[in-house]
Amino acid sequence: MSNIIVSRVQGLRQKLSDNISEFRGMSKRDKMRTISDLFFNNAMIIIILLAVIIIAILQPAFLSLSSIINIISLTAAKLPIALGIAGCIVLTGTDISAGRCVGLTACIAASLLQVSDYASKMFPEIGPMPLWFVLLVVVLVGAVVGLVNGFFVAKFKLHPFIVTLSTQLIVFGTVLLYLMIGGNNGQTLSGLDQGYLDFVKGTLFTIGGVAVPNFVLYAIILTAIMWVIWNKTTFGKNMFAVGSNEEAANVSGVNVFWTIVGVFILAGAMYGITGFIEGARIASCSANTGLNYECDAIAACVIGGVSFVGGTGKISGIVVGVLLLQIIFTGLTFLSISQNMLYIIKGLIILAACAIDMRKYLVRK
Amino acid sequence: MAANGSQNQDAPNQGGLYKHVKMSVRSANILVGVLLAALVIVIVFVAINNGFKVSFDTDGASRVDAVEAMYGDLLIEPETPVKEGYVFCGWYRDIDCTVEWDFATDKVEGDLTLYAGWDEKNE
Repeated sequence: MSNIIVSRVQGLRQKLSDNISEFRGMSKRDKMRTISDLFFNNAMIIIILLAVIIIAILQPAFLSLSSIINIISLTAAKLPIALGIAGCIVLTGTDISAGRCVGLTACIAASLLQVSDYASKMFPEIGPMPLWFVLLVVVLVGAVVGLVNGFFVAKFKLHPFIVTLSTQLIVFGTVLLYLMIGGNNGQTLSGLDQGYLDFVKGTLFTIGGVAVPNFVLYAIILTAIMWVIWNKTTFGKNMFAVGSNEEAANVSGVNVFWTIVGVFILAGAMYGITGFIEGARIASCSANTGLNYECDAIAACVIGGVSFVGGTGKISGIVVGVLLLQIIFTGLTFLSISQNMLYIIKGLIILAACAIDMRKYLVRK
Repeated sequence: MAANGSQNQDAPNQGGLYKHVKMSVRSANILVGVLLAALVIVIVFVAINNGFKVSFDTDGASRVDAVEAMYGDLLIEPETPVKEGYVFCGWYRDIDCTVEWDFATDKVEGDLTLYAGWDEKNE
């Protein structure tokens, strides 16, 4: 193990000194270009880090242990949905039904896991279901939405923006109808089973008296699973091949249809898991649950280097992207910036990150 | 094992979302620069004009004006609203009036709406 690390470090050092000597040998013009490329490609990260430093100076509590663990927990909560969407972005598409899909699955999970004696229980005749069953149900629901998305994208070559915009509305309508069922009558779903709350929000371990919730562990497991799928399976390699060049992938024998459908189903399953976690994390689910989650996830992916050019992206990049975005938004909350303003900032971040992504593509071309 | 994503970088790429973009790197630099400048300006602007909005929903009773609060502030209890036929029983975090807002200990952590709780007068 230590041998591997030593050789890795030596490799990196070699690479760095190679780069430096290469840089020394360049003409002045090339030097300028290399520096400007370095600046533009990492501009978003530079701005976020600068903002974090300024916020930490203005509000030292931002770097307190409880605040850092809060950031890590929120990152963990938003990671699965970003991991799902990233696959769709690798295929040069996207998925804007993700947030509503999280909302639907969160509501389903919450409704099946209410305590039996809750006054306005949605299904009064049944007690709380077993957790594994509910998890299976929400993953299946998510996967079905993904299947519909993937089918229309792969079969009719419709742009994912249009397909997922439609499913977003359909899913939202379904949530509203679902909330009207039984004793619930459109209210917020609360009164959740303690076992469910403990499973998601229970204490994994405590550092310095601050509890780290269980779902951080689940996010780590999901990240590991996605890493294996992306890097070690034929399906993952096919996904990158289709994202990079669909026709070339088709010629070399990749089943393009099932690869696209598979990526969307996998994404849907991830939204299901996110919904299951969100249901207990928020503990009061309504039609608004999951609203705009896809915006955060898409922004995180693009900041993390998952390119809309297709066929490029790393799991580690997604984790960094989600973390950076969470740090900046938690920081802005510490500066007492209202939610309305955060939406505007979020929009600008997506636009700027996309422009940087496009610039990288233009430079390579 | 090479990192993922790199295995297909040499393959001819269709350009994905940017397939139809016809722009020089120079103009792209300007575009990125302008957007980043806009982002920084907006962040600075909102950081100067900061403050969370705390509004009070009185459920049809006399109006209580919204106040501005900073992160971590305690709120000052506003004047008690009046509603015919009802007795005011406190400010709550949720519209169903299950979790009461404690003005002595609860701190503001974001935009907030507090809901007035009402008991019917028994006469």
